[in-house]
Formats: sequence, structure tokens, C-alpha cells
Amino acid sequence: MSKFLKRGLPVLVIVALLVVALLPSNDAKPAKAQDPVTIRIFVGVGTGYLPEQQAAQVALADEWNAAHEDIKVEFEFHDNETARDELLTQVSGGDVPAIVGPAGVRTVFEVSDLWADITSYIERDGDQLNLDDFDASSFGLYQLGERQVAIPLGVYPSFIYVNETLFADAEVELPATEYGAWTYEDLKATAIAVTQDANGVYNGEEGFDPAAVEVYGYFPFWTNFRASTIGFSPDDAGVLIGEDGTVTATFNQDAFREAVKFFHDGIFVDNFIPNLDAEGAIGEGVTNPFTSNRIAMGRSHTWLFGGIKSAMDDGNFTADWNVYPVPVAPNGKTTAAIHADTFAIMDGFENKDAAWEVLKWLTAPDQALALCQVYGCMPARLSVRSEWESFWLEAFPFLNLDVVYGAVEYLDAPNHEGYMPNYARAWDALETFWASVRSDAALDVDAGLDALNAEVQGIFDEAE
Amino acid sequence: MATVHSAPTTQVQTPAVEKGFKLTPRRAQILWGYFFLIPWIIGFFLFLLGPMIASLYLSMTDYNIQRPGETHFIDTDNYEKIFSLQVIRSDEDEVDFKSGYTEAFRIASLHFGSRDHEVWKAIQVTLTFAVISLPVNLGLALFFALLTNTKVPGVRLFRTIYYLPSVIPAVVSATVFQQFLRGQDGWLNLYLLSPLGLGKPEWLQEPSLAVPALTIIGTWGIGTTMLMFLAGLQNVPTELYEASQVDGANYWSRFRNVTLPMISPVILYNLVIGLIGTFQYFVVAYILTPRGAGGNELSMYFYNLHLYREAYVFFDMGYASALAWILFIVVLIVTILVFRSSSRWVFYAGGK
Repeated sequence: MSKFLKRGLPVLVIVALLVVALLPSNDAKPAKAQDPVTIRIFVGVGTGYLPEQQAAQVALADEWNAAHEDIKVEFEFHDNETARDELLTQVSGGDVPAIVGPAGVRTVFEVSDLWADITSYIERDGDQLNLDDFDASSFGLYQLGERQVAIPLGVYPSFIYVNETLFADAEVELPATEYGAWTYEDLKATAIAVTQDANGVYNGEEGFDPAAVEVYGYFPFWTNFRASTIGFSPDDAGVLIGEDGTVTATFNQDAFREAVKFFHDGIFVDNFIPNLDAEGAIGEGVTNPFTSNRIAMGRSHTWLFGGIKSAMDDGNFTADWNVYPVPVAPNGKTTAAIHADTFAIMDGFENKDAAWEVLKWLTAPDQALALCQVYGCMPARLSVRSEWESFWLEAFPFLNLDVVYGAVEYLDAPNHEGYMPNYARAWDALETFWASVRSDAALDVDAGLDALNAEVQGIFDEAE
Repeated sequence: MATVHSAPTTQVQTPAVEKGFKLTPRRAQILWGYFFLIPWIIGFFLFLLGPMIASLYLSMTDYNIQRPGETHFIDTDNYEKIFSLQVIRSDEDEVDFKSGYTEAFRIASLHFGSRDHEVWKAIQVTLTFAVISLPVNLGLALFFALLTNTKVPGVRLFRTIYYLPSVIPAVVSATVFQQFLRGQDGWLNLYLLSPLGLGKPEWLQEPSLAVPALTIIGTWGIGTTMLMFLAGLQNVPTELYEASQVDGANYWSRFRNVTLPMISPVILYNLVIGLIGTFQYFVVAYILTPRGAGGNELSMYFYNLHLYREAYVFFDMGYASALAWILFIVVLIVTILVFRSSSRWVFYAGGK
């Protein structure tokens, strides 16, 4: 026996271990007929993954699970940094979640092939959904050709945040409060007047040092090429989709030229917008650049309310501020970029009927309100907006809600994060150009836009 | 009274030729060895060799993680894309390349077009950085090693101070250097260059300053290399210095004829490690440039950055696998060449 142990056992152990290691695992148990369907909701590609946001979502799932035997809901949280890669890895490996969200417009269109078309479900359950309860325009944010891939859960309209204290210090008149009452030229003149250097000298006064600007007149922070330029109301948001399905890049149309010149001159000629290098400095040590007291005006979305509230609660931001309408573009149109969050069903998930039941529940008034309070969005359903409104009016009694709601009327459709063929590469080309607009003083804007448009068209064609 | 026993023999009388498999003690020992190696062997097959073979296969497909169901075997097309070049001679600024090709670079009137113009930029940036940064870092590390190899009070403190930056994660030091090198309010410009009247260079925006900026950042992490040199210097026999001093050699002569040859194996080691590190340069460039996209005019666009973006920004795993294999082969060839050349300049006291 000892001889056997000494000599033969290793051979058997090696063989056994190799066999075990090389055998395929058999984790997937066959589902029993009576097993409930589990609807796994993948959270992390947008907001909703933070520890403080998770409990409310789990509580919602518990609520559903207590009331349903046949379908169970499970929220699965992923860190935003890696969520996109993890989702694609799961999909690639055949482990497809049922629902993904909250997801922004960009996320939806970046991987547009992954989503199920829910048009037929909406047609079937339209009455139950009460479609009249939505902004018609916000519903269109998730229209992909003939396909409707999601129902909006919450929207984030944008406007100009104004630090009124900085305006008072500079003795500059505040912007107009009605839509259509001021233009980008007005914004430029106002922004120049409130721009101040580190020595307290205002832009335009003698001795102003453009290399040491302390307060910038305008900074549309946390943004990108399409979001920054959409305010100049370009046609089709730069992506013209023909009736025959052909896609043409129009990023060199006049509205884009005017927009890019506005920013490039604003940075390098008129010195009222920070360059790429200075952007980083402004954002250091603050929850958001607006609370740095280094920006007199900045365009952003409703999701900034949370950051401002937290800075005010902590005593880190004490300035007077309010929201003002976006200006009118040189072509006479007004466009206020909008963001939106939603949940979408994955096309690769087999039991779409069950997923649809959960999606309907998630976007119903009570759940939509509860989730929007967690995510910070304005509910897409009109019927529950008053509660959202009360919450923020309690925090900011001075808040001009006419500007907030007015922005929805001027939302960008097609959206600035809307469909592009070969999305990731096209987006990357636009952002590379946008970085050079903000960092290269010698950039030839017209030639650059022509080259960009040709490059993006090539990327679009590659997708064909 | 102690009894002396002869040790029991462990030799088994085994016929030299025997039918069938006979597990001799020697073979049993070998098998036990393999038994204890099994965890590593399994790990090697599952997590190293397996993925390598898988990536070799993937490099010959158009596998995109967004559309795994539409994967096709495309033979060597990914490799052809990397090396695709069309050359057109023209004095015009713009020339028409064939479909799918865009200008990668230009030398005088020769325009070079490629199906992936960014890979050529990535190669250029990586090689430029290797040529500039590697000698600077090796030279500085040797310089500090020489400085700290002297018998002066507090030398251990200096060794610690010079080594300390090496234990700071690259991500942290890159973030700190981002502030250090910023144009308008970066500490380098604000407290050193501007007071000297040298202005405020945009280190991270101006393409021509990109490699110098990265080289400055690279000097931050020379501690480990310095320690290697220091260990080498301390192993040089003092009698060699004494003998050379008796012969009238000055410091420079001793350094050139005694020190350098004696530490040449350490130089070889640091050179190989440095070369591999340079070819795999990623973290700092990723953090310093917006979206990790390589900065203005792709001035910080390293090969690994291109590989990463193809894989994890554009999800083009097939092409990224091909890029990874090319990197592997190039690093292998360069390493072999350096080792081959070492017979001419590396001195081993005990022979090879």
C-alpha cells in the first residue's frame, strides 16, 4: 500500500486534477417549469450605482418581489468606471441581463444593436402606460429609426447657471430671464465684462492679465463637442439621416462653424472661457466647477442641483445664484440640450414579456418618482413633477422654475447624444477635435471642421 | 555502546529493460514534483497560455465585443491593416489615397497613407520616447547611484529620499504631475520658469513639449533603477580601484575603465527592463490626456494607448489582439538583439 501511495498516487492525482480542470463547468441548472423568472436589472452605465443610491432601489425590488410570485426583480450594481465593459462582457458571454439602466441617450445609441424594440408592447399597453403623461418630445429621445427602444424615466433640461454674486461684484447687469430675449453675442459681452484676473482687474480694463484669469465669464463644463455646439441650433445635430437610410455628416454647416469660432475666440482671443488646461484647475477641490466661485456663467443640466445643494449644505458655496435661459443662436433658433435617463430591455434576453412587465412598473408614476429622487432627474411623467418641484423649491426657494420647465420646450431633437453609425469612433473623432479647439490657439477652425466632417463621414461609411 | 548501522539502501534493483511501465523511485519523485507544480501548471494553461492562444486566434477575426454573433475569420487582414502603407510622391498638401487609406505621415514630398494612420503615430511617439527618455533615466539613475555610493554622513537618508517616489503608484504621481506641469498655474511654471523669465510653457498641450514633459515625469520613478546600480557599484572590488589609483588613473578614467565594465551586467538588466517598460508605457499618458486619447496632435499617443483604445473604447478585440501580438514580437526581437549585443559590451568577471 505504501509503495502504491508513494509511486502510483501522484499519477492518479495528476490525471484526476487535469480532468477536473479541463471539464466544462455545469453551473447552469435547467430551469424548472415552476421557477419564477428573474429580471436582472444592470445598474451602473449611468447613475444609480453609488452606495447611497442602492438601498432605495433594493427596497423597490423587495416591494415588487413581495407582490409577485412569477417574476422576481434583482438590481445588480456595477461601478460606473467599468460598467460598460462588464455589461459587454456579460452580453458577449451569453449572460445577458434583462434590463439595463438608468442609461443616458448616449449609452443607448452607442450600443444601439443591443436593445429590444418595444414598439409593439407600447402599442399594446398604450392606455395602461398613459402616454399623454409624458412630454411628447422626451418620448422621441429613444426613437431609433422605426424602433422605440425605451420609455423615458427622467429628463435633465439645461440652462445657464449664473453666479449672481460675481455679477454684483463686477456691477454687470444680470441676463434676461425670458427665452428669446438674449443672444450668444449678448452672452459674450456679458461674460467678457465679468471676467477677472488674479489681481482683480476685469477683462477689457488696463492691466488685465489673460494668463492669470481668476473668474471666467462662461464655462460650459463637463461637456463635449456635440453638447457644446448644439446651442447654436445646427440642423439634424450634425447627422442627417436620409429616407433611404444613408447617413451624412454635416458637422461643417454654418451653425457648427459659428459655435466653434465662438468657443475658440472665447478662449484664445477674448479670454472669457478657460482653455483645456485651466478647466482642470477650476474643478479641483470642488464638487462641481460652478461652486468654485471661478465661473460667472456655466451651462449645465438639472443634475447640478444636487452638487450645488451639497456644497451649500457644507458651507462651501455661499454665493447667490439662479438659472437663466440659454441664448438665441445666430440663426434665430433656441436650443437647450437635454439629457435623459431610462431603462431598456436587452435584445438578447429571452423572456421579453416578463422584462416588459417590469419595465412598465419601473416607469409607472410612483416608481418613476422614487427612482428620480434617487437619480436626481426630473420625472418624464408630468403627473409627478410637482413633488420633484416641491423638493427643489424647498432647497432653493429662489429657483426660477419657468426657466427650468421652459428649457424642455426648447430641447434638442434630434438629441446631441443621438444616433451616429460607428458611434464610438465617430464620437472619439469629434472629441479629439473638440480638445484641440480648447487647447490649440493656432487652430484653423474652418479647415479643421472641414477635415473633421470628412473624417466623420469616412467613419460613418465604414459602418456601412 | 553505540552501534553503527549501515544506511538502508534506497536503490531498487530494477532490470534495465523491463516490459511495460515501471514507476521507479526516480520517476515517482518527478511525478511528485509535477504534483506540487499542478496549481501553477493549471494557472499557466488557463490564465496565460490559453488566453495567448485565444488572442492569436482572435487576431485573425473581426471580433467586436458589441457584436459577438457577427464574428468572421478574416485571415491576416488585421496584420495587413497594421502594416498597410501606400506611398504617393506629391508636392501638394493633400493627396488622394486609395479607399480606406488616410495620411499617416509625410517625409518631404512623400506622403504615406495607411488603413490605420494612428498606429504609425503611436509607433513614432513610442520610439521617440524610448530614444529620449530611456538614456536620460538610465543616466540619471546611475548618477544618483554614484552620488549615494559615497561615504558621507546622511547618505542612507538620501538613498531613501531618492527611492521614495518609486513606491508611489504611477496613477498618483501622474495626477500630481498634471498639476505640476499645468500651463497657467502649474508649480513648475509658477514658481520656477516664470520668475526666471522663461514664460509659462503649455507642457501638456504643446505637442513639441509632450515627450520632454513625459521624460521629466519619468525621472520621478528612477529609484528602483538607482538601487540596482547602487548594488552593482557596491559589488565592484575595491582592489581594482586601488590598483588603478596606483597606476595613476584619475576619477573619470577609473569610472570608464573600472566602474562601467564592472557594472555592465546591471546596465544590461536595467536596459532590458527599461526597454520593455517603454514599449508598454501607458498609465501616465492615459491619465494626462483627456479621455486617454493621446493629447494634441496625438503627441502622447503611445502604442499601448492605441491598443487599449481599439480594445476598450472601440471594442475591436480582433484588431487589438493583432496589435498585442505585434507588440509582443517586437519586444521579443528587441530584447534578443540587446542580449546578442551584450557579448560586445557586457563584462562578466566569472565569464559568461
